[in-house]
Amino acid sequence: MPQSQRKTRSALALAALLTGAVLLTGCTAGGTAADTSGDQLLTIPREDMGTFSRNFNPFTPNAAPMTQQAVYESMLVYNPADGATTPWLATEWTASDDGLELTFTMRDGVTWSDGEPMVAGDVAYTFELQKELLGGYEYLDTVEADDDQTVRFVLNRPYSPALYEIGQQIIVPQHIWEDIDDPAKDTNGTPVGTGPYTEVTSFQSQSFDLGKNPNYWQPEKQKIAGIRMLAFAGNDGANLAAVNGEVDWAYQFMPDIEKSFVAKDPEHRQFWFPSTGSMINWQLNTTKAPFDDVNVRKALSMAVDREQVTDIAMNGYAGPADCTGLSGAYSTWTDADTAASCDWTNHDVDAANALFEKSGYPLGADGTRTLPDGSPFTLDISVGSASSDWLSRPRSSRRTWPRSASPPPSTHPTGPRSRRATKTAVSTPESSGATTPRRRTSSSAASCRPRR
Amino acid sequence: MRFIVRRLAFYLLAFWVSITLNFLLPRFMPGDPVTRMFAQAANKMQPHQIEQLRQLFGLDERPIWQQYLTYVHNIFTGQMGVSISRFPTPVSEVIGSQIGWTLLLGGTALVIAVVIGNLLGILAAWRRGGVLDSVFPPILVFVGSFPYFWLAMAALYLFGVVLGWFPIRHAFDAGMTPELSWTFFSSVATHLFLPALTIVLVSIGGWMLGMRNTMIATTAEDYILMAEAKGLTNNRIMFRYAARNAMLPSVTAFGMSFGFIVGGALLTEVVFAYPGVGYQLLAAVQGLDYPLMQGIFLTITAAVLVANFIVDIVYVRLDPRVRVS
Repeated sequence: MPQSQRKTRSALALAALLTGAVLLTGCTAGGTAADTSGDQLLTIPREDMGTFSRNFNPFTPNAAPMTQQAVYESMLVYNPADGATTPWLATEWTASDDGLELTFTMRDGVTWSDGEPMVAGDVAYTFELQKELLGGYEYLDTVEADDDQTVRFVLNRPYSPALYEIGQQIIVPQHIWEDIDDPAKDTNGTPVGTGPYTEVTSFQSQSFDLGKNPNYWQPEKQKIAGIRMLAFAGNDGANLAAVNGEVDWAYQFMPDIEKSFVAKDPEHRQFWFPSTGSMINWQLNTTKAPFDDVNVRKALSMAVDREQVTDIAMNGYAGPADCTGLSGAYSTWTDADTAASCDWTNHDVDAANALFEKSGYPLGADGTRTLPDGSPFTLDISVGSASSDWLSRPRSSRRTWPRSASPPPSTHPTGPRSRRATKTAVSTPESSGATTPRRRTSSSAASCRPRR
Repeated sequence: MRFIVRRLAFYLLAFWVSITLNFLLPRFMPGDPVTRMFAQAANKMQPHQIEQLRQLFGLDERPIWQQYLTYVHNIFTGQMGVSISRFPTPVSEVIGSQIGWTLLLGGTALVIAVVIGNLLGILAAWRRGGVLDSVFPPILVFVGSFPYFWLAMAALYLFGVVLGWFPIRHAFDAGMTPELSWTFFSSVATHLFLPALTIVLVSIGGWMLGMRNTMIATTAEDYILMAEAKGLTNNRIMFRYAARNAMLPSVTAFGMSFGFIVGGALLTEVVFAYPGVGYQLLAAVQGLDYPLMQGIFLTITAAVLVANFIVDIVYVRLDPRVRVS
C-alpha cells in the first residue's frame, strides 16, 4: 500500500451574528445577536470567485453559489457530519426486495416559487433532462411518475448508492424547463425553485442578493430576509471581511483562527472544522520507479511527522488520519482494529531508514539518500498556489523530513492551481507533473462546504 | 499619408501573427478544460462526470486547422463563443462586465501617474539640484520598488481597516445598483481611491525619472540657450521648448501602457477584490478556458495595436522629423 500524507484542507464555518438560519448546508450556526428582527441578509463570502456570473442553471458546473443550496432542493438531504438522512421534497421512500425498484412519495403542498404545485412529474422530468444533458445514472432504466405524489425508479441492476445519488439530485420544474430551447446553455437568470431563497433581488458582478421565496413550504423557517453573497479573489480579502465582522458566516481557511477571529468577540464568534471533507494526500505514480517500490512508499510515509504537519500547516484544525483512509464522515464505519493494523502512518525515522536500506537506496556521503544507481533521490511536489494553506502543507512536510531518512523534496507552486485543484502529487523528475492513479489511503478531513 | 498606410499594413500583419499565436499557445498547454475542472473540484467530482462535462460543453475535437479557420472566421464576425470555466456565460459577456472597471481603474491610475510624474520630472530637471530634484526621485524609486502586493496590503490595512477611511473591497457598496446618481458615483470614487493610489505610487517614479532624464538632455540643446537669449519667459521655455521635445519617449510609453491596461491589474484585483479582467484571465488560464483566454488576449492585442497606431499618428503631429523621413 502506498501511503499518503494526510493533512487536511479544512473548511471553516464561522458562525457569528446569526440567529438561526434555515438549514442550507450541513453547517448551522449558533450564537446570538442583538438584532432579531429577521430583516437582515445573511452575508457569505466566496473566496474563490473574483466575480459572479448570473447563471442559476443547476446543470452547469459553475452555477452561481447557492443555486444548489437556496434555490433548488433535492428529495433527501444527507448530512455528512452525522450520517443522517432527512426527508426533504420526498417524505418517504421504499425499495423493492430485489433492490431494483425505488419508490419515493413526494411531500404534499410544496409549490414552486412561481406558485405552481410541485408534482412527481417534475422529478421524472428532471432525471430525463439530467440524463440528456449530462448523461450518468446508467443504472436507471426508467423514472416514472405513477401519480402526482409517487415517483418510481426502475434500476437495471442492484446498486446500493442509488438512494443517496437519486435522493440528492436537484429537482427542477418541468413547466419552466420544457419551454427552454437549449437547457444546457441557458443561464436561467430568474430561477424558479422550491428552495427558501429563490428571488434574485439584486445581481452585480461582485455581490448578489437572494430574497425569500414567497411560496416556500416551510415559511416558519425563513427567519432571515435573504442571502447576500460577496465575491473575493482570494482568502485574504475574505478573511479580512470575516475578521471585520462584515460577513456572517464563511467557509475558507483562516490561519490561527482563535487569535485572528474569535478573540475579537469571543462571545459571538465561533468556528467549527468538521472532519467530513476532502482529504489531502500524495498521489504517487506507482507505475514508475522509485515509487513502484512498496518499501519506498512506506518509508516516505514513515518519514513524515503527521502531527507536526497538521499542527503547523493546518494550525491544528485537522488531525492525522489512520490507515483506513476514511474521513470523519465515516467515523461509525471505521474499524478500530483495521485502523491500528498498519505501522506506516506512524512517524518512525529508524524504520524508514531500514526500509530504504532494504530496498537498496544507500545513504550518500552528504547524509541524503540516493537512488540505487547513486544519482540524487529528489522529487517535486506539485501543489496549487492559490491558497495559503495548500502551500504551507508541503513546506511543512519538507520541514519535518529528516535528512537522514529521505530525499529533500522541492515544492513547486505549479501544476493545476486553484485551491481545490491540488492534490499533492509526487513525481520523479522523469515523470514530473504526471499525477498518478488515485490511491487514497489515509486522510482526515474537514469540510462543511456545501455541494456546488 | 503614405506613412500611415505603411504603418497600417504593419499593424495588420502584427495582428495576424498575434491572433495565430493566441490560437496556438493555449493549445500547447497540457491537459484540457474538463480535466482541469476535474482537478479543481478535487474530491468532489466522480470520474464519470468527466464524460458528462465533455457532453455538456461539446468540446471541439476536429483537426486543428479546421478549428483555426473557424477561429479566424469567428474573430472577424465578432463571435467569441461561450466561456468554459463560466459555462454557459458568453465570453463577450464575461469580458464586457469586467472591462469597464479595468479601464476605469487602469485609466485613472495611468493618467494620474503620467501627468504628475511628467510634471515632477519637468520641474525637477528645470531646477536641477533643487529640493524636488534631490528628494523626490529617491523616495519614489524606493516606494516603487516595494513589492506591489505588500504595498497594497499595507495601504488596505492602514487606510481601510485601521483608519477606516476607505472601503476595503469591491467597486461599489454591496446591494447598490449602477445608476446615474451622486450616491453611486461617490461610492465608486471612494472604492477606486486605494486601488488607484497604490498603482500610482508604484508607477509614478518611472515616469518622473524618464521625463527628468530626457528633459536634462533637452535643456542642454542650443535652441534652449537661444530661447533664453531671446528673453522668453522661463515657463515658456520650460514647457513649449524643452518639455515638448522631451515628451516624445513619454508619449510612446504612455501609448504602450494604455494598450496594456485592458489586461487588467491582477494583484490590485486580488488585494482589493476589485472587479477586472486580470482575475478573469488568471482563472481562464488555470481552467484552460480557451474561448475566454482567446477573447481576453484578443482584446489586449487589439488594444495594444490600436494604442500604438494612435501614438504613431500623434508622433507625426508632434515630431516634424518623422514626417520628413
